[in-house]
Amino acid sequence: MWQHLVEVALLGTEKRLLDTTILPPSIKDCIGESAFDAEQSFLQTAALACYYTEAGKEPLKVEHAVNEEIILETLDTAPAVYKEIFGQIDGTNSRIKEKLLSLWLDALIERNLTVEPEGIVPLLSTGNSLSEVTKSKIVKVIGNKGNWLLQFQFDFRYNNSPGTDDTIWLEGTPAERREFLSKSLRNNAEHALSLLKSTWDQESLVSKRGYLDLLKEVLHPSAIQFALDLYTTEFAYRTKEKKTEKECRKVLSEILLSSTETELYQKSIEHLSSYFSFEKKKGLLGIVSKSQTDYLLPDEGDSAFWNAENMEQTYGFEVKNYDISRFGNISQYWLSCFIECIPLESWLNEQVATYPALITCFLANNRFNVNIQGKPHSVLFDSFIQSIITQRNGQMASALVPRIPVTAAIPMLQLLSKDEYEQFVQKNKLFSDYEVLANGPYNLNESWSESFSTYILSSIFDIAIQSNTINTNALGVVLAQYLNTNTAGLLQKINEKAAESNLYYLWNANIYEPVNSVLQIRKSIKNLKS
Amino acid sequence: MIISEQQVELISPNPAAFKTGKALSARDKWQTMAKSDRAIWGEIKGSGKNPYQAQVDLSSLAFKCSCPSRQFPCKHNIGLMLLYVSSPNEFTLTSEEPDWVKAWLDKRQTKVSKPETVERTANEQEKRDKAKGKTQEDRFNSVKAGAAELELWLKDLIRIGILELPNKPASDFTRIAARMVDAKAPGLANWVKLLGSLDFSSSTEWQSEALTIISKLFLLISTFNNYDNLSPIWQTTVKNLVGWNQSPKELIASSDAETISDKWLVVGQIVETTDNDIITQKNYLVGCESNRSALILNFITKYSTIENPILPGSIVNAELAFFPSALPLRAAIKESHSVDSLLEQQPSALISWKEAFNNQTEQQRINPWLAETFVIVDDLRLTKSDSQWLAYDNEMHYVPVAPQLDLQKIMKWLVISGNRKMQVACILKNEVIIPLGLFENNQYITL
Repeated sequence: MWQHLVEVALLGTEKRLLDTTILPPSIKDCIGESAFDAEQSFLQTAALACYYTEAGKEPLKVEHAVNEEIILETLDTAPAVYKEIFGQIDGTNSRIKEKLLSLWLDALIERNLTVEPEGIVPLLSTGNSLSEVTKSKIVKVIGNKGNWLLQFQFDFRYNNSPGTDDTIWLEGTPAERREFLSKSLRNNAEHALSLLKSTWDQESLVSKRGYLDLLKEVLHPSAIQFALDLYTTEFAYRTKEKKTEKECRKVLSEILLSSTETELYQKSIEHLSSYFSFEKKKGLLGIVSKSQTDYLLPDEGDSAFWNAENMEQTYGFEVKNYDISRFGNISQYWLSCFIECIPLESWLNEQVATYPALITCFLANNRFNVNIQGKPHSVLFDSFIQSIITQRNGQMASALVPRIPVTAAIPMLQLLSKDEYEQFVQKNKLFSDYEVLANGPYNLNESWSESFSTYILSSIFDIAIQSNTINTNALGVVLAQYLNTNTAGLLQKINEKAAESNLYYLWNANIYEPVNSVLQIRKSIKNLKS
Repeated sequence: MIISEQQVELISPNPAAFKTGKALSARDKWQTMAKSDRAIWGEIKGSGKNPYQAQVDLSSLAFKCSCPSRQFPCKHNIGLMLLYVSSPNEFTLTSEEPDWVKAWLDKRQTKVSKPETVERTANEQEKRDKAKGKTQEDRFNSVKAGAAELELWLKDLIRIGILELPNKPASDFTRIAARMVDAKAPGLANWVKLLGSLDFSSSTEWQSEALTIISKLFLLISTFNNYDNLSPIWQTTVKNLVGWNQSPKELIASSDAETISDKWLVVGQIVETTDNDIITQKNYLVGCESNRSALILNFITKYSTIENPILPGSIVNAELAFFPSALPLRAAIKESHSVDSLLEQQPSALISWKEAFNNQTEQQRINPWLAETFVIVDDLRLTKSDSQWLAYDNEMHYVPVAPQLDLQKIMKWLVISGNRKMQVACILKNEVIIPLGLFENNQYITL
């Protein structure tokens, strides 16, 4: 009946007449013959039929199999105080939040507690944009109910939710796949590699290049054999090859050169050693001898190894289009490429036995200097630093950091030991340098030592009083993040002093408030553990 | 009254205000804080010389702060309430309220208990009634003309065929709706807007939906045309449906209004914004003893705030006055005694979707234009079918959850239930449900 009325309405009463014979008697009786025209008659009928249909509607039945298993918790639920602290953490600055959350999660994990059901969704939402380490802790405290929730396709990105399983690799967008591979290589490299291999043949050349970059970035030992296979087959030199194919070879050779076990590394070192000699023209690194005349690399190339053909075919290095603003000649460019990927300890030998000596020989050698804005600058500087960072070479970082400008040293500060870092900051009076303070070698759960915290806090206050200003709240954020909780008393004392000065408002807003509130939360978390 | 963080979030004017308020909810930010049996208050340092004085009347949920903010409640009130949520014991209990708190609370109490009345002479009253009668008559005639015009438009539509609807420019619907507003029949205008807002790109779904809207609108116009033959209660009902405003103040002042005293559980709140920037806050209440449903509407504009905020999940011990209607649902708080959060008596629930559908049919029989029904249904669980969430009962009957519903609500339902059957309060509308909250162990948890 209703469908017939819809059909009449669609075509219009001008073109199609209403068939009243199909109407149920109860509607027929109601209509009567009071209508003035066909439209009114139709609308009256439709109104009655509409309610007639709606009144008779019944709910539908579930046709598919449903899961009726009740999810029970096996661990105890955290007391209400945990929820209160989480509420305080959730309201903090995003840069501090993860640290506080990590401490809070540790407290729950240590005591085998789960968050209460109502707290699960807010916790998952807060943690969604945080690091994998924090997410893995969250997964431990959300209990069976929280983990059950992750089985459904919500917008959460946690390891055990279906959204992050292999389907992303098979069905995701290029950006999603790249992100997935990057994470997987760090968490489970073997599995990530097997996925990559399974779809390798279907990938575009540009995608392949992107994935190889990821392999180079993560540098997992299990990727070496895969890189070697590609290096010797798909991306081996061909007379006619695309630019991207050459780029892929470069990335692959860099991966292979980073491992001392590979044939490419061993052969390359053997060849390179012939260009670096000392007084007796022997040894691997003549370049690093005290006498710069021992540096034997030809500027333009030779026929044996140091030539464009070999560099392009074996390593995929550029032979023409290198950055002429950075390098004086092509030789310098090639050398910087080798320094960037070959482990730095490979360059040590009897004559240049220490890292400081290696730094002197590479970075203080006039042969590798160019003038930039009237100042000498080593062309190997950037590659050297990159190599330290990629290889996480703490010893080399310790040797180099004191010898270079602070701005260049910042990326390497995380490789120093805590003592070295704190001494470095104190020696160079960098107590108000936000970037230096924010990049120390501390993980999420660590703080500065008590003495260092005291030094930083007092120094910041002294300089603020002297200059009568505090320009930024960034210092407050970093202090809140790393200040030792044992200095809370000192903070109060300094605050009392600040209250007597004209600086109080700025001090209070930029330093005291953010630091004190976070210290209070950290104290509360500490109390949970005790 | 015990309030929760979620409730404070719900009554915050916007997420940013809640976030700022949360930052002010740390204990050390407050110079003083205390509570009595009817309010909480505190002093907080602001940018001015003197601290701001924030106070919250817990018995009827009202706020005041000495800060210059136009937001309501302001961040200080929000911070104070959140601090009370997290650390109620930090508030010193006292029977001696400071003057600035006492004065405000006493003034509020006087205002609540004695509504303002204007005294008029008999002559003034006669003049006033006459003018009112003339205005009503003019309006009635204006609406009548508008309804006739709309009826003609509907008939034309049916004569030509609604296949033409997708080809009509949006301006056609806007124009007709505007005509109805001009004719002082905004209720009719809403039906036209609803028709124009259908998704005509959907293959055939819109066809049945369009005919349903047209049919119901035609029935409403026909009923209005038959106004003189209707009973007084139906005359009032139809006038309201067509667009006559209902004044809560007049209702509360009226001695004829139906009133019910009960412990009213605020089961949920839905906020809708209309195209002219008026925010309608729909508060759904259910009487724990009477089992009556009530709907309290609050309207907010850019320039006004809610006069009497209602906290979802709270239990308001109050006397509600119901607007006269064939099916009285809309109400106003006539007198509020206290606000609580402990559910001593749970409202009764329907046992299945079948019963809920029958209940809906019964209500539509009384008021055919009822757009939604509020129900509490027992033993519901969630299951997912493709991308759609379904709430199913013991008989495996289901109703889909509204697809536009915030997924956080579904997640909350899932984790609280852990796949157990739950008693759920929800709105049944257009064959989908909007879940509002769950009952568990004599507690009501808002979603």
